[in-house]
Amino acid sequence: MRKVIGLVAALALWAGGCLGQNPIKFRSTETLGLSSGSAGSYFQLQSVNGVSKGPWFAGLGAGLDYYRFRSVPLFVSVTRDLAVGKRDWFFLYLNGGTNLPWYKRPAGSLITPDGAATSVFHSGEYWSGGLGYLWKLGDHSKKAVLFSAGYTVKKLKEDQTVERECLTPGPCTILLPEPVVYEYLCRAYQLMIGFRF
Amino acid sequence: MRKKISLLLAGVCLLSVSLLLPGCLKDRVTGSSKLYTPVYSLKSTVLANINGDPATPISQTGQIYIKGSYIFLNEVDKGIHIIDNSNPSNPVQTAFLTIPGNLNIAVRNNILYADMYGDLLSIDISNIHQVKFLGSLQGFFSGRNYAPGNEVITSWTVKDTSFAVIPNGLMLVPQAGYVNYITDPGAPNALADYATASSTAQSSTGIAGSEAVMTLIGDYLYAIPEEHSLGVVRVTDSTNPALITTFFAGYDLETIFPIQNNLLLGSKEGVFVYSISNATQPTQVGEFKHGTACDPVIANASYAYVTLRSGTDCGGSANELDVLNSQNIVDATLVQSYPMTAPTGLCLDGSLLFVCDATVVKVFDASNPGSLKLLSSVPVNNPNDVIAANHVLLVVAAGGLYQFDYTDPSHVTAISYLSVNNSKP
Repeated sequence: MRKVIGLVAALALWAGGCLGQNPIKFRSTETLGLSSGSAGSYFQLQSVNGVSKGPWFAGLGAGLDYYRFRSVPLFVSVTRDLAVGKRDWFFLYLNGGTNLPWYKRPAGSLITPDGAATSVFHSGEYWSGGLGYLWKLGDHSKKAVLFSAGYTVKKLKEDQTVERECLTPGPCTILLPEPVVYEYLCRAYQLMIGFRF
Repeated sequence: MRKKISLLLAGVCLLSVSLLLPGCLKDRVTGSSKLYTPVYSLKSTVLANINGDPATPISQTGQIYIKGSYIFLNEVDKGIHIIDNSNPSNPVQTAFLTIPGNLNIAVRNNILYADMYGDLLSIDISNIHQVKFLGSLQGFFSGRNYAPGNEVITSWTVKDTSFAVIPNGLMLVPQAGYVNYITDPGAPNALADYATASSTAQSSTGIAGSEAVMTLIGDYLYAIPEEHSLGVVRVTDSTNPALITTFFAGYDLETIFPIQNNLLLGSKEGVFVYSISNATQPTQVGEFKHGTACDPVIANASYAYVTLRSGTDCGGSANELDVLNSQNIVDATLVQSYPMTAPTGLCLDGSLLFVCDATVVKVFDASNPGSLKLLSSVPVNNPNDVIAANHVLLVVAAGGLYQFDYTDPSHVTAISYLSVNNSKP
């Protein structure tokens, strides 16, 4: 995780350093959209806040991602605008950070041939990147609408512990000595629309 | 205009890509766990080496049984610790019987009856340091016959393993070979009501527990060989325990307790009452139903006490102590329910009632069962069961074997502690 944050932060610093002449401005981007992968299409939303300098932007983002398991990505975001016209342009973005689980398996959903299981989710990496298109609402306005398409990878870990039925009569709780650990690598395309100001 | 059209087309293309290409992406799920593979040995070899090392450490406490000055403590799936408790302030591990798959214990005279997975063994314990295997009833505990007839699982090899799982979002516990298939059940087990057991069982037998699944009465051993059956075994000839009958006796049976020529069978749904007036052919004479829960039951001539525990292994949501009027045992009625945290085993000594409840053993004045009075709560982590006799309270818990003095039941004091793997209380 430190590597991820370090990498994105380094990118952000490099971006800032490249453009010494431009003033620093606060910028906020709110988006909502879909994550589509083999598990289906799921809703997601994000808020990214930070500073821009020239075509570069660096900030911190938080979101809500329902793909497969609901989670909260917290990430560092770097964006590079690619000028096309006065009021509209393309941009590239790269996000990296951690993915916090916000998901509990419904009670009774983990009934296995060996009995019921308990589950605890743990955080993993979060990455996303892609290309977007932005259209300013006025010549001198900071406000703009945008849409983007990209690719996202999120990871989660889950510890499952099975409580088995007794092998003989008598009340008892039988636990696996070690839980089964699952690692989920979720990959999806990301399609978002949003608002920047 | 042309630019706007191309942008629109670009957007449509992106949307199409996002909606059509997800099929190309595959989420990946990998699991890691322990792979358990059984190691088999010949039964004849195991039975010839039943006298184990007395210093075998206690690692996983199971059922407990007392006979005379000895405590028989089940080491789950491994055997039986025999502990000399002549001096309760200094209990001494004197012998260990190596019996793989053992969970249950009963003693009559100098004969110990114990299960070895599916088999019922009879063992001469006249010389506690040099016990002798006498005979067996093979396959009696029909729910635990895992190995070929002349073999028994004596240990497991364990190795880390990883496996790929096809993610479906719901059922992710794999069933590959022996993964998750272990016989290391941490079966909390129990002791019985000393006073009641003493009055109902012959003095030649020992004292079993509120969560015991077999009991000795006269010439017969009654047991729950699998969770829906009651079995009767004639033990007049200890070298040849003989099966009399097994039959369906109720769903989800858990415990067995003898009272007044009857057997109380605790199940997850209620308590079944079987008459043993005809010792070889028990017949159901009553039933008390409650919500789904684990429920050891004990009784005296007037009242029966049932603890209900909920949880994933027990089902239901009740955590309580129910007191039943058992003067007419075939038609027991609820007298009062008392809320509990996670009750397990329990026992009676005269008007004192002891109940294991999560992190304590509760001591009640049960002079008026309709209005139990809490006298004290003895801190014990995860107590499984208790036995109280002669002012000595024996508690088996996840952490080991505890003994307390309850001469003054309002101020119970610790006497001794035999720890699991030398852990601290």
